[in-house]
Amino acid sequence: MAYGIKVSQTGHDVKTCDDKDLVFSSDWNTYKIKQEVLLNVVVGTPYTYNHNLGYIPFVWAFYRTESGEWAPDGFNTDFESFNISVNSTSILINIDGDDTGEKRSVKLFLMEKII
Amino acid sequence: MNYGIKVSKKDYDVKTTALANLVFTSEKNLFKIAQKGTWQIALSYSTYYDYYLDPEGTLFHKWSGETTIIHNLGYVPSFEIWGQEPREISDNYFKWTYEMYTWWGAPMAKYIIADSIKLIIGYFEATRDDLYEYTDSPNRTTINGIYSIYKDPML
Repeated sequence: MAYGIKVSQTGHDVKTCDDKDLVFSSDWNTYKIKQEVLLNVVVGTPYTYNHNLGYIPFVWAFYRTESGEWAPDGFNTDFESFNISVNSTSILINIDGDDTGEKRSVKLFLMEKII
Repeated sequence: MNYGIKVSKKDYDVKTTALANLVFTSEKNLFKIAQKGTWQIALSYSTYYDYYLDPEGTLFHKWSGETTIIHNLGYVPSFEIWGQEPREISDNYFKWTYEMYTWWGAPMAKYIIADSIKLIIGYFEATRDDLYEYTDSPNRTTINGIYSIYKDPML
């Protein structure tokens, strides 16, 4: 006998619907947030955040632009750029642009390792 | 009558608390991992002639490689790709996005394409021989990366 939990989306029968119509299934893992970090990073000064997780995590990274909106990493314009890279111990954050010395808020979500 | 499941964060009343204080609710979908793992591209060197500018052809030096990840989901899934950069000094992993620069002197492309069967990850760079002194290969010719393919479809 099989054991587990399934939760379907509204309007779908949990016993018969496709996997893609489930909100949750114990058959399929989901990423859990291992670390959630809010940082102040200076434009023009590389910032290293040490996560010390011992594995290369998937990271969702966002930063607050000069105009106050939030944008994901890979943000590249004529005036400012926000990029990150990651290894098994740290995350390197680079914000470059015209406003050298100004501070920007950076939010990082680091995911739990899935084996 | 409404059905569903909610799980709140510690110290919040699951029956009254706001969505932000719920750890799980059946009213909101989650990305379910269908497949995850590592990928690797071995870049290979070759040359080719481009005949667009010169009928006799212009020599280009090329580094390129591609890898295919089969998922067989039957629909186009959502996904996430991270990997090393061929021209970066560090071994760090970067989020891979679609990039294509078609400038005729040094075209470059980094691409990720998904369909209902597979995910293709590829890299291409070329340097025009009569425009630049070609001396340098990428910092690495083996690119390592990680990926997640989600059960949740693109459409």
